Amino acid sequence: MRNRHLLLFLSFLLAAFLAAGCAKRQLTKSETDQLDAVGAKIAKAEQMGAKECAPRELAVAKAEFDHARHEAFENWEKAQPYVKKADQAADALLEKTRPCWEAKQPKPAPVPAAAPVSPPPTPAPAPAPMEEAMKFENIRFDFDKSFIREDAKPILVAAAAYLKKSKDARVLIEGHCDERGTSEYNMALGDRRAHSAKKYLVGLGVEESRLSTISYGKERPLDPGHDEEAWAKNRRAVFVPR
Amino acid sequence: MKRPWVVLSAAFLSAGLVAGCATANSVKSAQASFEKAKAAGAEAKAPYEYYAAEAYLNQANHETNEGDNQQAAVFAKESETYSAKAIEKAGGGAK
Repeated sequence: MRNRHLLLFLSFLLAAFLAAGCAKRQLTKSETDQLDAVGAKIAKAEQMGAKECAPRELAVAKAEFDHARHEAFENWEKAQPYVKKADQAADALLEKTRPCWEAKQPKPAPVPAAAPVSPPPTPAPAPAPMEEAMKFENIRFDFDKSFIREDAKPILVAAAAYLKKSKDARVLIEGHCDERGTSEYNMALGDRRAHSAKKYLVGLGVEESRLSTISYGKERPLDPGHDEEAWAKNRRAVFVPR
Repeated sequence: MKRPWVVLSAAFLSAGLVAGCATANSVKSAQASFEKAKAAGAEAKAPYEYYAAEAYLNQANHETNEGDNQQAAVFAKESETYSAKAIEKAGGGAK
């Protein structure tokens, strides 16, 4: 009898010990904002072509960012040097990427010296702020998987940062799959992918009510090809402003 | 009376050893994959993947030194994934 009580007590002790080890703290708004700011810099650099322009800096910034995030969930005070390091890495990344990106931009055509006088062209209407800002890359998934990959995280962090600033913005998250497998299976997989992206955004502080999901399964491929390159593009989640 | 203590101690010890060995193995495996990527010339042929493998391997080593084996294994796995991509892009590894 005594042995049974002892065993029970020790089992509880073990469970409590394991639970304490796995527990993660919640980030405050200010902490989330600081991390988001770093993530947004990395996402911006990626959109400017950092993968080609500054591959080493991009890789280092991403790894430092992941490390800082991990430490932040453990202990914010102890994470400070890592957050700072990630921020510096993101700054270095942007600094290296910007001139390369600028060099790739099309140059304006030279204006002829004696051009006839004509009324200035009407400027094109500026895009709505929402449309302008909501140009997030699609996020991609591994074959038959719906977990958020490392390369998708900066994109989601940037999306979350934007959505937290623009309180009226709402987003439809579309889940897509490649052509392999049955329609029914892919419809469910696309749903899991869309929900996975939504869950990640909610985890970053975006209100769940502003995010809706839909699955198109394998019905709307981005690339009509039948090889791995096409399939990789088609296994995606797309963010559509509403 | 002594038996539950013995069983529990053995279980704790085994779990600790298994977890520790698994982490050490995953970091070693990541290091080996990175060496393969290096030998395949991935630094020039797949620079982003190569540097990402290196950066996550550094993070895995850092976490091992800090005693966070769980996170070390996460970073090691990430490094290994990038090494595999780098090797694939570089043309299949060292021959």
